[in-house]
Amino acid sequence: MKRFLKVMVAGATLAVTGALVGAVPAGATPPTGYGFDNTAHIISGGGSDTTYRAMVGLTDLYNGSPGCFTTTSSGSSVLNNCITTNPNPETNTLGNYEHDTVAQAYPTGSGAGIAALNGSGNYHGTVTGAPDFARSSRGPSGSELSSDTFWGFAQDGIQVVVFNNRSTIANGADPVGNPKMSADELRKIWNCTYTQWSQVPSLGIAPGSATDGPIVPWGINTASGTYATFRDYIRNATGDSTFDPDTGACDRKLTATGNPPFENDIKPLINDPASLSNSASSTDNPENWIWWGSYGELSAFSYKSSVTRSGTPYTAFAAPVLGFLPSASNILSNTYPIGRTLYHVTKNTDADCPQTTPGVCDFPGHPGPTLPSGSGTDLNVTGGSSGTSGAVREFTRWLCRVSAAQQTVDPYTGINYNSAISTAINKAGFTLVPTALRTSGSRCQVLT
Amino acid sequence: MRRLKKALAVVGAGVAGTLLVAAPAFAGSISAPTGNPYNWPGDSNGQPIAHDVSFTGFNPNSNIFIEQCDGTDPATTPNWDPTEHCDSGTSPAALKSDGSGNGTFLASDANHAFTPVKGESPQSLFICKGPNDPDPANPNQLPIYTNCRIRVSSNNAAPTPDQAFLVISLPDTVAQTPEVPYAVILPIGALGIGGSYFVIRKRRSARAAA
Repeated sequence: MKRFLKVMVAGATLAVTGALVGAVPAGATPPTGYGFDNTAHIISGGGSDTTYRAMVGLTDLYNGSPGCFTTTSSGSSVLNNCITTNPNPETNTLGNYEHDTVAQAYPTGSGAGIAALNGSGNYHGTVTGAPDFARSSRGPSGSELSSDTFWGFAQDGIQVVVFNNRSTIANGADPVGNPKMSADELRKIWNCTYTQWSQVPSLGIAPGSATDGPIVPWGINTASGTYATFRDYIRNATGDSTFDPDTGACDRKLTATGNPPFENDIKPLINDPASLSNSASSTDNPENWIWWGSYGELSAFSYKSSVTRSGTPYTAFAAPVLGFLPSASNILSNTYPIGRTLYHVTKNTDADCPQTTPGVCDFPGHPGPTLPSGSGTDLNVTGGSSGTSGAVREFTRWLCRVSAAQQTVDPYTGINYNSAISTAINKAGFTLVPTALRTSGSRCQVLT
Repeated sequence: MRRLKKALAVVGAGVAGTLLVAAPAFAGSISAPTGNPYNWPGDSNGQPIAHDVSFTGFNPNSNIFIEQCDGTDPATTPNWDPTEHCDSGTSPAALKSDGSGNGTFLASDANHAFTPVKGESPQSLFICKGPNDPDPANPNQLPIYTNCRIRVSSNNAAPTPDQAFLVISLPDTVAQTPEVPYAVILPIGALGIGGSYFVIRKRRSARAAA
């Protein structure tokens, strides 16, 4: 009898211990049709500076979203993995089911991030030396779509900026009645054809007047999407395929490094000269400077667009482009001349869209798994079925779902993630992707 | 004395070196229009039109924004945030405040004119309607308000110490008299004229007979 009881107790203990350490009974699987494998993975993104804060906010939401019950036993070899004693398959929570960790490495620029995603370079701060996905503030370039998918999740605009009293050039700007600052005028400023403000025809500044003076265009980090978007806008609008806003003799670089400044922060510019001038004829007078950057970043983070040096405040104000001043309204309506979509970039093998015609996403024609409610289907994202590849696939799916029915509720706030994603995008100064640009069946613009 | 000189040297270096600081905060207000709520003007169909909005008390020579918000009261809503309760998609270009921190979003200015939206907000965050309008179709199940607000601030992306609000009442939709087609009007008109002729003629005959 004693031996029998010992065996019974031992057996019960073994069964309980097995459950606590997450032993996988035969047949238990993650939700069907997803890239989860019941194991928490860490994936990291890298690239764009413009989209960095927005993606940090979005990944923070995803990291905290509902998922499986996890092993919490101190000392367990499968700590934080899903407990798989539930029925087969486990219930889809529509969140970060296996509690992957998504991280964002410090920015290097869109081009550098995408290159690293595709195996070029060693990106420190990522898990393996290459990001698992990239951040990009520009669209696909060259042959990138042969290996990558671009998931446009937000909209921004390139804002041409001037400083302090030079902001008067925006007065009276009107896209119809007074289309100040054409693309060709911008080209001639940055290719050093125009060297004086009075030479810009649409501004109507008299030579030698109090508001005349040298134009000092600044360059931008060439690895950034902000650089590429502005350059390509001028090239396409003027037909000058060789235009480069960084290579003119007059295009100003930072004194200490000889390099163009990083984008979206006026502090390196304001801090560059040994001393600033308020003389109308000085190249060290910021009122003679002209630059460009992200409308979203510069409007959402005022310490990037307005600082005081030695008691004098310096603020970047929007200059007109074809008479338009950038706004969230005209960026969202896609009427601002230099609007741009912001992208989350994945390798096709990790996350891609379903296609009927190669190269054309077809979400409606290829619905995803049935939603847990039994009504409707999830967004169909193809790609990895396990590991970090599957983790990338599921983060991407969450980011681009089209409706509240496809999302779950944030356990911290009670807000559906469909709204929470919009809020995170707006917090970074951006708007949602314009309706006309979205790929049918998704809130994103998906390019493959 | 030596320690004092060292301390003063440190302070001096700090002042002489580059000092980058953020701008101080101001408390703004909307000086015009006024009302609680302000009855926002509309066109002949009851759609809101652009209208001047003036502000005062903001940081001088700064970017100032205007946008439309839902009907929740920022003063009584815990953790109120413009990215949750306002739609930046309604926001025109930022306006530079003058040297006194004042300015006007002019209805006549193509870049700065502000027109509130009636119906679903541009980023599908909420619905604003006139006080007597029926609820519109609401497939996204958004909250509906008749007491939406406008917000003027130095930042659409975060709560600010200078933010100012005005509760607005949007114009009700004007019921349109349906147009009757000519194919219906003309025959009815002809019958009316013809019928009148015969009635008058009959009466004249009756009088003559009498």
